[in-house]
Amino acid sequence: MSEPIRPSELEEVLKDVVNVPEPDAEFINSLRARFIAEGHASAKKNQETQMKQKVFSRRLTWALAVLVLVSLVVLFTRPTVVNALKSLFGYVPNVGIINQSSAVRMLEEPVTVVRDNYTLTIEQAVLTNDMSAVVYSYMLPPDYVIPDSISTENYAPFLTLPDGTRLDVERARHVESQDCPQCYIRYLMEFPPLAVDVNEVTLDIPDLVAVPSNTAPREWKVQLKFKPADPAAIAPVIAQMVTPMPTDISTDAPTQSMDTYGITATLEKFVALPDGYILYGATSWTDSRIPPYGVVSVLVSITDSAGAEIPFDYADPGMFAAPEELREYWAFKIGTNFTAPLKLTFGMLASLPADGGSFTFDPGPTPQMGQKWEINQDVTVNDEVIHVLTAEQGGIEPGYFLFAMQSDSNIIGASIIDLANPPMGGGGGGGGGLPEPGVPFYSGFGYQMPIPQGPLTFTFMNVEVLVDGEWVLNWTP
Amino acid sequence: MENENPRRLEVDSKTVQRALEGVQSALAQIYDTYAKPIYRYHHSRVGNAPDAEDLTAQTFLAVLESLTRYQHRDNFTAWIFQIARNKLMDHFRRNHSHGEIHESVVDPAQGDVLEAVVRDESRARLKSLLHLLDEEERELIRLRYTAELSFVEIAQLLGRKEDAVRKAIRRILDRLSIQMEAQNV
Repeated sequence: MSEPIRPSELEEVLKDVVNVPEPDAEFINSLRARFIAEGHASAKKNQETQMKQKVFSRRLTWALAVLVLVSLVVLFTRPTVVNALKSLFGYVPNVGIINQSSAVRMLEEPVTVVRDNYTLTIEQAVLTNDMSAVVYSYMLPPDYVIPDSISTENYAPFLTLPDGTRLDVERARHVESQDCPQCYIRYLMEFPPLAVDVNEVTLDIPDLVAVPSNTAPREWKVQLKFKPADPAAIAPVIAQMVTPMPTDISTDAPTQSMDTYGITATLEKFVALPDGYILYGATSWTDSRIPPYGVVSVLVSITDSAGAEIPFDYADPGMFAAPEELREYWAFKIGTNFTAPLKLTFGMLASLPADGGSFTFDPGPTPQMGQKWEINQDVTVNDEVIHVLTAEQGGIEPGYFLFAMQSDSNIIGASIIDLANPPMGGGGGGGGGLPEPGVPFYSGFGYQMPIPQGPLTFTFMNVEVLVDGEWVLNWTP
Repeated sequence: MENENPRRLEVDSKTVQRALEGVQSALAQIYDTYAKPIYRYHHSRVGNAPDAEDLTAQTFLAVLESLTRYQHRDNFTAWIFQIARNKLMDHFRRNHSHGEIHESVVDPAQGDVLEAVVRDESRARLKSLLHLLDEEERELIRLRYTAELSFVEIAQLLGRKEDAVRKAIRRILDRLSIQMEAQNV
C-alpha cells in the first residue's frame, strides 16, 4: 500500500496529472509571427478604410469591373469574353490576384541583405496601375531568443522615389511561407501605384515586422529595380460563376422549417497553377436576423467524379467582408490529381436570435446541490419546438442551473436568461451544443445568491442551428 | 492553494487599444501572455498536439477578427478564453466528440524510483477520480491547473463570483483528497 497523499500535496499531483506537453517552439514562434503581422496589417486596413476613401473607390471600381465582366461571362460565355478576362486579371504567387489591364512590372531580381545575422530578402515586387506590391521575408539568427520584455515602437515601411517623394504603405498582410522553412515570416506590403517612368525606388523598412525592434537591426534600406513582367510569371484568373445545386433538404423531421436563411455558396473564379488550382468563392446570406459572422460555412468534402476524396488546403481569399456585410469569403487550394468534375459540399451553421420563447421552473425553497427536476415543457422558439427536459443544480456551487434540452429540428444549442433576475457579471447564460440534431443539448444559467424564490422564468435569447441541407458546387477546370 | 498563480503580464485596455492600432509590441504582449495557456487548455481538451495547435491558431486569428468588438474592459482573459471555448465547441461539433481531461506523460525513470512509484500510484488514483467529476468540475480543474488562470479570471470567464470559484475548487480538492484517502484504506 502506498502512502496516503497529504492534502498539501494534492495540488501538486493534480497539476502533474492535468499537465500537458509544452507546445512546439517552432509552432509558437510561427504563430506569433503570423499573429503580429496580421494584427498589424489588419489595423492598417482599418485605418485605410477610415481615412483613405480614394483607395476604397479604386477597389470599388475594380470590384464593379469584375462584377460586370463576370455578368458578361455568365450571360454570354463567349470565348472572346473569357479571353478578355484572362488578359485583365492575373495571379502572382505570394501576391494574389492583380489587375493587368495595363503593363505590369516586376522586380528585376530578388535582393538579399544580411545584417547582424538577420537575412532580409525582397522576394517579389509587382507594379500595376492600381498598386505597388512588395513581398519580403527574413530569417532570424540561429541563436535568436524572443525577449521577455518588448517595449519599443515599430514604424511602417515606405518607398522613396528618385525625386524624393515618399509613398507610405497602404495595406499589408502575412503570406504563407511553407515553401521557405527557414523564413521566420513572409510579408506583403501594398503601396500606391508608381508612375510608368519610375523604374527604381528605395524601400525603407524602419523595423522588420513581427520581431521586437530592440532586438533586430533597424532602418533597412534596399534599392529595388523593376522590369516588364514575364507573362509566364502571371497565371490567368478564370471567372467561372458556379451557383449551388438545389439544397438537399431532409423531410424526415416534421417540425423542420426548411429555412435556409438565404444562404448561398458561390464559386466565383479559379487560378490554374503548375501544382494545382486555387478556387475562390463566397458564402452569403440574405436573412438579416443572422448577424455578420453569424454563419460558419464548413467545406465538408471535395470529391471527384470517381468518388475519390480530394485533399484541400485553405488559401487566402484576398477579400474581406465589409463590417455589416452578410458574406464570408473563402478560398481553397487543391492539387492536380483528380478526375473532373469536382463536387464541393458545404455544411452551414447559423446563429439566430430567439423570438422570446420561455419556460418556468420552480426549484422550491431549498434546492439542493445535485438535485434534479423533471421539467418536460415544450417551448416554441422561432417556430420550432425545444423540449426542455430536466434541470439540475449544477454540482459546483448553489445557484447554477443546467437545463437539458432537445429539439426535433436542427437546433443544436441555445442560450437562456432570467430577465427578472439578471445574471452575475452581466453575462448571459452559457449556451451548450451537441453536433447532431435531436441529441440533447445543455444550457445553463447562474444566479447570484440567494436564488430568487418562487417560479423562475427563463427566456431564450439565441439558438444555434445546423442549417438543413448541403450546398453542392460542381466545378470543372 | 490559496495563493494565486504567479501571474503573467496583464493585458489591460490600453494594450488592447494599442493592438487595435497595430502596435506590434502590444500584439506581441497579447500573444506572449496567452499563447501557452491557451495551447495547454486546448491540449487538455483534445489530447493531441496537432489539434491543439490548430485550435490555438484558430483562437488567435479569431482574436484579431474580434478585437474591435472587445468590450470587456478589464476582463481580457475571460474574453480570450471564451473565444477559445467557442473554437473548442466548434471542433467537437464537427468531430462529434467531447473533451476529456488528458493526462500528462511522465517518465517514471525520472527522480527517485520509490518516489516515482508512489507518485504514479497517486497519479493513477487521481486520474480515475478526475473522470468521475462532472463536466463543470473538470472545466474548473482545467482552467485552474492546465491553463493556470487565476480565480478572478476563472470567475470572470464563467460569470461567477471569485469567492464562489475559490470555494468550488477548494471543495473539489477536498473531495478528491477524501476519496483518495478512502481508496487508500
